Amino acid sequence: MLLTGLKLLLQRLKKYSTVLPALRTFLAMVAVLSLVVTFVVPQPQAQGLTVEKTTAKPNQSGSSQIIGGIPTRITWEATVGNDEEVKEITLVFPEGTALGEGAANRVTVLEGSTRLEVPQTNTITSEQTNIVFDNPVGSGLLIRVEMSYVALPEETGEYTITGTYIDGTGTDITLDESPAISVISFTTVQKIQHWLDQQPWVESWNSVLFLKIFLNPQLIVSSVPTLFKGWLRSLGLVLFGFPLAIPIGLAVSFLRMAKFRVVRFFAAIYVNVIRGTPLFLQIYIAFFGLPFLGVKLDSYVLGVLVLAMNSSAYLAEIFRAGIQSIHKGQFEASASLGMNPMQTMFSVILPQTVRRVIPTATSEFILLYKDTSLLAAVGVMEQMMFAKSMVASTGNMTPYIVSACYYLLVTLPLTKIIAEFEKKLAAAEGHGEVLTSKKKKRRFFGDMGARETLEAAIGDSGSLVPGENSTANSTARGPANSTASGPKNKDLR
Amino acid sequence: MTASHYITAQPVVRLINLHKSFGSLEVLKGVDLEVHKGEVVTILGPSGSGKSTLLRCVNLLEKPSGGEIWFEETCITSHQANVNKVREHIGMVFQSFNLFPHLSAKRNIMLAQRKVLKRSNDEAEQVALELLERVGLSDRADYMPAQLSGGQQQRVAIARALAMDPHVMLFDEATSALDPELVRGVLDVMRELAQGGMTMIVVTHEMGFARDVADRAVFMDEGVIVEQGTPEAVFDHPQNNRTKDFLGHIV
Repeated sequence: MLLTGLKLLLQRLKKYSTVLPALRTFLAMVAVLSLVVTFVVPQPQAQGLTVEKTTAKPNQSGSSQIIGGIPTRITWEATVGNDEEVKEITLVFPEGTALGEGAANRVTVLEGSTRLEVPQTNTITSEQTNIVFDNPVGSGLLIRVEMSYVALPEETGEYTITGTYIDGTGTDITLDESPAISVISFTTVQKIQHWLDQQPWVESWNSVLFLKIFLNPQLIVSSVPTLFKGWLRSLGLVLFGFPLAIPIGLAVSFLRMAKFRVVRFFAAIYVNVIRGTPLFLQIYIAFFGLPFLGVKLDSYVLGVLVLAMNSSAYLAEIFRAGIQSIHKGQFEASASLGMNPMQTMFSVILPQTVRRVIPTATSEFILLYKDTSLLAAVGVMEQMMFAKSMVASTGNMTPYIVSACYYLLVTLPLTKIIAEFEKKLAAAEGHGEVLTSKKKKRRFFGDMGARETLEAAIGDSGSLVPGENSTANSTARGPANSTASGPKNKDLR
Repeated sequence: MTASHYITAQPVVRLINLHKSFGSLEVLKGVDLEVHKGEVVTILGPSGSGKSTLLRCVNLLEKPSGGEIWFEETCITSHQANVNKVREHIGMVFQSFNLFPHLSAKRNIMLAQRKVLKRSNDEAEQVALELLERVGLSDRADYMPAQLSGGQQQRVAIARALAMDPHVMLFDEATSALDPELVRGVLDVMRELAQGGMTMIVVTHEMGFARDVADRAVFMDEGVIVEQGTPEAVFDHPQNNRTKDFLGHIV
């Protein structure tokens, strides 16, 4: 076999060697050398006992893989050659193999179609197992050795079982190398799960049906990393969708307040239709309707668009309410300074609106974030979808609970932030309150003294502050007056 | 100022047969008024007499229903008039201050300078600081409106209007929303402005101020000017019964 292989190789290479004579010489030398090696170096006498197969049992439920570091059962088979017999077999495990409790060998022989236990004595250590047959096993028989509770090395790799045997004449012969067993190492999650599997408290925890179904420790461990990916995708949906909804919402709110009745009418239709129908329905129409029109978008992109469209209608109303809540004096003051409506809107009205709408807009963000889950219905891979498929494969509710925690991870802090912001806003808009709030804030941050702020507010109540000075200097429009009033101001406090 | 001065010079503001109605309610029923450069005119009258509406018509915050308004050489009630351009030169101070609450005192004064007059940031800031000094608030430049008292806010509002280099200043009951002890600071700033030669139209209930500072007092009732003249003439020797009645109530 080896020879014919080499010859074939040579023939192939000769084609190239015509081009490169040097290579030809080199290849010839290699060929000769390998022939010499083949014949001169003694080969193991494989004819006495031929290794047929080596397998290991998948040792993780629901998986076809063999995990290193945890016990598995290894099956090793070999056939005794014609007119040969085997007295003793020693199998050597790969380096790093460990034995679990109750490691044992079962040795059987297949004779025809019957499997027989073979009387033997064996010793087993983590490096090797030694099997001594009571009577030599005769020719043509298939010996099967099953070794249970053998933990292959933890590192990922291909492992083989080597060894020796003693034939009928008492000669110690090296075994053929067995076929390799592929071993993969445990992920951290699997390690933790495996550890949990062995804990008595986990067992008693899971003996309570409720805890087992809703708060299964092993599934919590596997849900957290898996759902994290879904969490990122859901966040992505809302983080792309919401910022997109802001300019659309703002534009629609402007149209809602437009001069022309027709424009207002269409803007109102947009807002009322979107707000008046369920988002779920809108998703269905977009995902199942658009393909009919030949519009094919990535489902994730389409998801973002539908969310943005939906949210823009709500934001439009939030913005409109915000803009209309600005006192008309602000518009008048801006107009009296010669600012045009555009300048007024962007420099005066919107900056004030932003503060006022932040709490409601954040609530809208929270709503939209939660609504990303609806996209699971049309197969967008987001958190809900990840949770659903985990639940489907495990038959356990725990992934849903973990999913709930992921949603709360975003919504709870945001709710808290809104509350804080609203408090601050209320303080900033009412004059009386602003002082107390500023006072607290300042103290909290160790900033400037609260007294100063308080005095700032009642500065004029001393009635004299700049009054007297300006009367005294009333004819002067220049700085003379102001320099006079400056120090006086300071003196008063 | 002498009477001849008014006749020769071009009026800064000129109202001709001004009418204004809100729905069926006629608030101004034909008002004629000329205000000349450097003149301080106070408009007095009972509430509902149309004083504020008259003032708000001058910079077109209210659109007149009839008549003409001239600002210097421009008829601002005509369709060709650029309203924003006209307003640049007409400063207005409101009863409710109307400072921009999201901007500091300094920034309040800078905003329109930058947006409308296209002044550089540095120039606008310099003007703002000078004006704050002039109204006695140089140490409040970086305060937010909510951190200022009403009187301080109104002084910032005056500075904000002055920053646009107005040709006329309109005061719409500038001190009416203030606590009595805060009124004086604002009035002093106004007095100083008047004495500095600013053309002003002042709607006020401060009779003392009207008497001391104004060149001319105008008494309005039910949408028309009932009586006008020097403060002494109107306050001390009112000719019209309604004026007498009104002043009788006040004094």
